[in-house]
Amino acid sequence: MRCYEAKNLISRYLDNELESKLRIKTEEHLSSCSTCKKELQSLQRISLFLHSYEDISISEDFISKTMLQLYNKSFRSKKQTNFFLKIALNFIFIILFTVSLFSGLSMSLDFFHNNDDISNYFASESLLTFLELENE
Amino acid sequence: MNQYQFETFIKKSSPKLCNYLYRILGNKEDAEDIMQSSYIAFYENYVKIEENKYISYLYKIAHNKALNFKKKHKRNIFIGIDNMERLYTEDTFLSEESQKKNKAISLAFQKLPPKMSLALDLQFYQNMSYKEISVFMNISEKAVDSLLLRAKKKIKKIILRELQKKDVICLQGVEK
Repeated sequence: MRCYEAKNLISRYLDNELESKLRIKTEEHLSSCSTCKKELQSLQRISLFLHSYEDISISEDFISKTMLQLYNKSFRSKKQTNFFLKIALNFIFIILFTVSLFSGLSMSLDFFHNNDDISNYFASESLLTFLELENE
Repeated sequence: MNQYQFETFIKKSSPKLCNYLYRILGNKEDAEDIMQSSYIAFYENYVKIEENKYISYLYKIAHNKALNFKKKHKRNIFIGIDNMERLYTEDTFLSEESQKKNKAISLAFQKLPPKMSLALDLQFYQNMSYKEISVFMNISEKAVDSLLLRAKKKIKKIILRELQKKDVICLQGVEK
C-alpha cells in the first residue's frame, strides 16, 4: 500500500469502518511508515479532544415552555380560523340576502311588466271606482 | 401524534439536539430558542413525514434555522477565545475546565462548514456509523468518508490556529 492510499483510509481505520482485508493492509503500512503513523496519531488526538465534550443540560422548564407555546399557537390559529369563518359566513349571508332581495324585486317588476293589461285594468278599475265614489 | 406523545418525543430528542445546536451556535440560550421554534415547525409538518424519519427531519429544521440565525447575527456569534471567560458560567453543572473545553469545541464547530459540522456531530456525539450518517444526510457512504476526513483535518487546523492566537484553553492531547 502506498502512502496516498493509506492517508485516505486512516480516518476509516480509526473509526473501525474498514473491512478486514483493508484493515490488515492499512495496519501493515502503518507499522512501516512513520509519516502515516503520525497522521494517525494526529487524528486520534482530534478524536480524543472532540470526545472530551461534556453534554450541557437543557433548562428544566424547556419542555413545559415549548408545550405552552405550541398550545397558544394552535389555540390562536383556531381562534383566527373561527374569526375568518364568521366573516365568511356573514359575507355569504349578505350576498344571499342581496341576491334574494334583487331577484324578488326583479320578479315583481317582471310581473308588473308582463301583466301590463291587468295592471292597467286594475288601475283603470280602481280609478273608475275612485271617480265613481267621488262623483257620489 | 397527540400532546402526550409529542411531549415524550421532545423529552427523548431534546438533550442531543440542544447540544448539537449549542456546538454550532455557541450559546445555550440561542440553542434553546432555535430548538423551541424547530419543535413547533416540526409539529406543524410532521404528518407529511414517515415516522422513522422524524429525527432527521427535526435536525434538518433545526440545522436550517440555526444557519439562518447565524447569518442574521453573524457579527455577534463569533465571540473569539478572548471573550470566552464571560460565558464560562453558562452551565453550572459543569466544571470550569469542562466549560472551557466545550466552548473551544463549540468555537471550532462554528467555524466549520455546516455539512462538516453535522457529519462530525453525528459521528462523535450521536455515535452513528458511516452508513447511518449517509442515510441521515442523504449522501453516499463514500461521500461521508471523504466529508469526515476533510472535517477532521479542518477542525484540527482551526484548533491549532486558535491555540497559536492565545494559549487560553487547555486542549488535552492536541499538540501544536
